[in-house]
Amino acid sequence: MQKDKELAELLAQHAMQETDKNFTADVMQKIAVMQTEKQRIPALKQAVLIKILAALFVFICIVLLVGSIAIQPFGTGIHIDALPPSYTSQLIRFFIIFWVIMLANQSLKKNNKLVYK
Amino acid sequence: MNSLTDKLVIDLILAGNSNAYTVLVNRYKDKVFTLAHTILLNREEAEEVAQDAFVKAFFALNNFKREAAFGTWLYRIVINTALNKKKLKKLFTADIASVTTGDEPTDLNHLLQRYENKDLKKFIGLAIEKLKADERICIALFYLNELQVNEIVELTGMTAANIKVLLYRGRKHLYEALQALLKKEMNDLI
Repeated sequence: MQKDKELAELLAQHAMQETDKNFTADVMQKIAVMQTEKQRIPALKQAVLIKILAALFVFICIVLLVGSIAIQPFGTGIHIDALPPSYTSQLIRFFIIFWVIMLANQSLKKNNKLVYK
Repeated sequence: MNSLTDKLVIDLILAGNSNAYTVLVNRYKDKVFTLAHTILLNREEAEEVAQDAFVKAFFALNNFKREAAFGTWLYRIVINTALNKKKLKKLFTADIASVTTGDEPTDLNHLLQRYENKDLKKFIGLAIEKLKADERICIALFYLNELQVNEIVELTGMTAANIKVLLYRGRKHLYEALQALLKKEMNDLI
């Protein structure tokens, strides 16, 4: 389709709207803010995750401790007695070591992500 | 950096030079703002939509496939953002079955020469606002954003024939509206 040259000229001269002077600066500022937000939100999530894991770790430790004390005098009802006593203590140690390593790993990851530049 | 093509500027941005985006913003800001204003007919909303479109485009640059020109891709974002702002789903709803025929007003040039640029800008703005939304947007995309009919087809999803009808009607209505406004102004002055 051919352009109406007169109209094209008329519109180009008089119909083109101009933005405010600060338009480009405003756009770049919005972009900078959003870039920072995008970096900050995962770090925040990571921090919350660490807290949840730590709380869970403490809770499980307490449960295991209470459990290990309570189970021995009264028995479990489950046939753990069939297992040698060393298995139970090994299981508890395994859980504790597992949680310690996982928390350490999460903590290291968090420290690496907090370095932005 | 201003002389670089859009593609080279995009390469720079994707390589980590975010500041290079100012080149694209400066290059397209008036066209993007005019398009947003054509859809919304409100300066503040148009400015907001134009800024949002640039921000969205920046964060979506990784997904820009470079099959179309950057401008066309950006205008699509502008249209979608403006439609979201207006809470509309479709850009074009008008029935375009009939084509009005007729020539453009002949004494328009004569009338235009009597006015200063500042007044002309006002009258042309008013005349554009009097057009139907679909005609107005087609006129803006074709004459101001300098898109080809096939690119407008891609952006709007309408057929080429429909776009041509809208352009034809829009041009005719624009001339008529402009002539009516200028004549009224002349009569008021006399």
